[in-house]
Amino acid sequence: MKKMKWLLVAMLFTALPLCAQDRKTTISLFVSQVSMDGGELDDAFETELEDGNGFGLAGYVPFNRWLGVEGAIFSLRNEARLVFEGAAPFELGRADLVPITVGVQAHLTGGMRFDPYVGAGAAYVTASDLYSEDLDIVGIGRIDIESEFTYFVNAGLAFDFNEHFGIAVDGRYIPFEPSTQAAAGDEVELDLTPTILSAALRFRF
Amino acid sequence: MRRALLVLLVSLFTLPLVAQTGWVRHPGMRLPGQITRDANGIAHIRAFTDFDAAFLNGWVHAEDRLFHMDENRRTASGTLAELLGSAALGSDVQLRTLGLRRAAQLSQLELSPRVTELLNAYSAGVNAWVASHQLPPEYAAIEITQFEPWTPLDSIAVAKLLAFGLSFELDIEPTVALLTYQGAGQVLGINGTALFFEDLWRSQPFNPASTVPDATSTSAIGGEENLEAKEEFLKSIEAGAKSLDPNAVALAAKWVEQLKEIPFFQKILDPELRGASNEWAIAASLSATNQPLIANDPHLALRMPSTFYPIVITGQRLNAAGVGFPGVPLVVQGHNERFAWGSTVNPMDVTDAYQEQVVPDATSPSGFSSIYRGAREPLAPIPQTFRANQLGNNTPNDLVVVPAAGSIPAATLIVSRRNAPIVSLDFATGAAVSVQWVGHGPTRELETFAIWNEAGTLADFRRGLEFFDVGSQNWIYTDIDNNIAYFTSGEMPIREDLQAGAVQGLPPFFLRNGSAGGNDWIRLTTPRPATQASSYQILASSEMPQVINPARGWIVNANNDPAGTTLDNNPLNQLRAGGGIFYLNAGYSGFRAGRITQLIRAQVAANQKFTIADMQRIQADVVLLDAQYFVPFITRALANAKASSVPALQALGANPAVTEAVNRLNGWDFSTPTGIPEGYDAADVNGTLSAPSSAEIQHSIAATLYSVWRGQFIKNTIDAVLGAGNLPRPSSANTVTALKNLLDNFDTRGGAGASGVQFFNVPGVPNNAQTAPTRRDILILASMADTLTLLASEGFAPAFNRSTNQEDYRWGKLHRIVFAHPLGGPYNTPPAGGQFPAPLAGLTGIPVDGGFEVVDASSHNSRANTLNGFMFGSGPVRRMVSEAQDARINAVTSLPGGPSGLVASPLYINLLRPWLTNEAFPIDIGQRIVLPWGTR
Repeated sequence: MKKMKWLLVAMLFTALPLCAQDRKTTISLFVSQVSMDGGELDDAFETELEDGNGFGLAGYVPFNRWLGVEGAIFSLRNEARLVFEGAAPFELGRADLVPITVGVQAHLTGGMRFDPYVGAGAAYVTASDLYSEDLDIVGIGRIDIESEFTYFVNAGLAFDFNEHFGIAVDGRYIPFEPSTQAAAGDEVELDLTPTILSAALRFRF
Repeated sequence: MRRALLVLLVSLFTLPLVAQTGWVRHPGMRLPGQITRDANGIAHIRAFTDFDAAFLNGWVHAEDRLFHMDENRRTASGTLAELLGSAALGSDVQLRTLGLRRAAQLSQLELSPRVTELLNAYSAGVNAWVASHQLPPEYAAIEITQFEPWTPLDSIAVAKLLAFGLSFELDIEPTVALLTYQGAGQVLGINGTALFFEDLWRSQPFNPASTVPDATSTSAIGGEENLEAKEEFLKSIEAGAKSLDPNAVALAAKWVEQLKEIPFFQKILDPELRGASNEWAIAASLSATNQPLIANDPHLALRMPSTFYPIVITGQRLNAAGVGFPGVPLVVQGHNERFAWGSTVNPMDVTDAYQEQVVPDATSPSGFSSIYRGAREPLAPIPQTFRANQLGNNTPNDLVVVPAAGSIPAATLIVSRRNAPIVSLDFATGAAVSVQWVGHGPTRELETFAIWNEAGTLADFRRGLEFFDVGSQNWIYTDIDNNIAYFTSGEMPIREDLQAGAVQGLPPFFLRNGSAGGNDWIRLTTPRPATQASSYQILASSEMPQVINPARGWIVNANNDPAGTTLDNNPLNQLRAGGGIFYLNAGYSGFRAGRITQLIRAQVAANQKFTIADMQRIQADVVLLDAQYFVPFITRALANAKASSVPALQALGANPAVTEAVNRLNGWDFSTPTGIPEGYDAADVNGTLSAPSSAEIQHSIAATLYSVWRGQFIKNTIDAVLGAGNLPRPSSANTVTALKNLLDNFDTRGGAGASGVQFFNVPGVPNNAQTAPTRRDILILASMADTLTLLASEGFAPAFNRSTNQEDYRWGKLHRIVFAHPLGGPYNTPPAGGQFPAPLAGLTGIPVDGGFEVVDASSHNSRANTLNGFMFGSGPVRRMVSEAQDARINAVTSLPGGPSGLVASPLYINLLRPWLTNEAFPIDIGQRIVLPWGTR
């Protein structure tokens, strides 16, 4: 799964300079805060995820002043816990998510200095195993989270200082409810849907 | 800093949530756990892990019973004086000598990692509670401000103490009685051995109820009486008694007298206070719901706080509801998701006392050796230091070392051959007494409960039984697969002489000869099986009495003979399948089992199916089984007296008070209600008193008359004879059994025993001047006349105000109980710190229905003849009825007291009043937490 993730990233960024030869390509570096949904697992249990943080990298290639394509990758970290009957939390460990998104972005002011935009597209999300001492104590052990194709939507506002540099804020929503499995073999669907709020530095060339 | 503030804010926000839900994560817990209290204040523990469940088990025990636990562990360890002061030194010396803590150390080495972890968790829970709370007020009363941290060894020592209380017995009083009778026999020309075995200390029980034969319709193992074999047996006893050293016997007798001064040992040595119990099972085929039922009520000291601690424990694998002992984790009697169990004491002979010969020996580490088959064997010394709390000087934690002198020994001496401590030693003569008990070695009872606290099958229950090594019990069982079963447990040592087929010296229920050899327990010569803890050969589990789903559909045990080995009055005439004598115990109680069997047989014969209410009705039964037997003799005696021409008998028949009293017995149903509005009877509802009905009053008066008559009849027959010869008296129950035997054989022996001793002698009249039936009837009616004199005497004035009006003789004025606390005073019930004022002015205790050896155990000494002599102190420390439904166990229970040991807490006695009126409340297991991903 990890190999596939990095292959996609490599393809994306290899392709960007090709696009950039005759169009202004934008690279954005994101610093992100992320909140994940969590939610009920059954009548008694729910997952609860602390707000986490992360970082990301995106490339944008315009088709014209109004439309373009964006590819992005994020690395997100959230502490997850299991909550029983509204109380009694115990740690599930760190939910490390890597969403990779490719989508169309529409610029509402046609590439003005203040550049609000919206986007949508496909996403592929991978996550590391959940693991904590608490999981070991109760005998669940390591929880494997399956990677999943999904979609995303985003919106943001960019401000260009000059022809090459700018900043942006970006909000991104990626539904992610993967199947998870531990040593005992029972499959559980977990809602890890991240909402990513990021600040970005933009470099255009 | 910001992070700390955030944590603080989060904590402040979440704390109320935790308080509301009861989820806690105390330091030392692995994950959160929950303690909730139900309407009865019973703690329900729920945790993600068994470790945390055991931790919280320790926490709630400490919260509710810390002093009780401390008292238990210090009693077991022989350090009670460090708590209660020098008054407890006698107990410490004896228990240190007997070595329960030493034995616990051996047991600790045998425990599985799982039980070790549970004990560690339990200890951590106790200590976490202590670290975060003030010590309970009992400690202030004894000027103690520090609590020695709880350890797993403490729990094992408490478990040993319980096992000790249930299985330890001494054979010294019977030995003294036998030798005295034999000595008197030589002087008086009677058979002293027969006086013991055939007349007064009979093995044969009062009632022949025997568990496995009754359940299976098979004959008892004992079979028919063989007179020739009996003659040989008595001769062998006569010869065997000569092997004993009178010095050692005297030493042993003196030691027993010392033990009797110690409250803890009184409970063990006094048959009226000794642990007992009832249990029975009804198969689905006889149940109104087509689901099997079991009932159980163990009888231990009725004390404050109550002996048992009710609890529901739910962990990852653990899920059980019932009762445990403060100081020990887990449920020891109760039910899990699939089966329910209860137990009664199985008085199996797992203790032997030996006479030893001790000689000075400079080469021995102790300076002494014992003689075995003529050779010296060094005695191992275990140095001891005793400390006592100096009470009353307002100095906290003022413990001082008590110098070794007089009764305070510097060391315990151990006979290594049998790991038996020397309990008494006369340095002048070298005579000594040692005691060997199965529990001195490693035993693993806690493993049993760890297995049974998880759901399982009958096979799992039997697997657990293999670990219940000492404190032998009769187990009653039912499960959701519709099984009922009965098992006995405990490691029964094989004695070398019995295995060889003949008793050498005296049998194991007397003092044995430790010097001559031949009386030892046989050591294992092969590797110890995994199912066994003892290093001696033991009866195989297949040889232990047991039955599963018997044809008759019911099983009864109430400490009675499990296999019928004593029904022919000889416990040693059964053989093991592979050779050797099959021996379990010298004798059993037959009263309660007899009555329960009677009630079940009657209901089965009437084709009435059993319900939970029926089981509770039997538990509440207060009918005197012995009265059923003796009252017809009394009424016949009066009829004979009315028709007699013998002046003495005629006079008794003409005595209007005697006539009135006997007539009262004529219409009696043998029940024993209190007959007073202040009295607690099964007829009252849910702890609320109601005025007695006229029938209850009449039965109550009859109960008084008969119960006092019993003691007077013993006084005028057996005790009159024994008193004249200054001979030892048999125990309370043995005496009643002996009287029955004399009356059973009256037509052929005329009141004389097999020994030739005549027990029916009218004072001042030669026996040949009256016929035996006349003497019998005179003594019966004279005993009633004495009864009336006694009840109207000054001694009974606080109860009856010297009244001669028999309407005043209500049983509740005599049959009372004080639930005693070790600190006494306001901690006792009554008054329970004012929560339960004494109901009767001028009389101590609470009036309760019941009496001698009734099913709803509340027995007193059969010889009772004083105002407080009819009080009782032992009884059901728990009542339980369980119905094994299709997918769950439906259980009801009751306890004499409450969960808390804190006298100011409403939970100190919240369950007592319903217990007094035989009510019960439902108790169910918790809901186990099923984790979303399952577990490995």
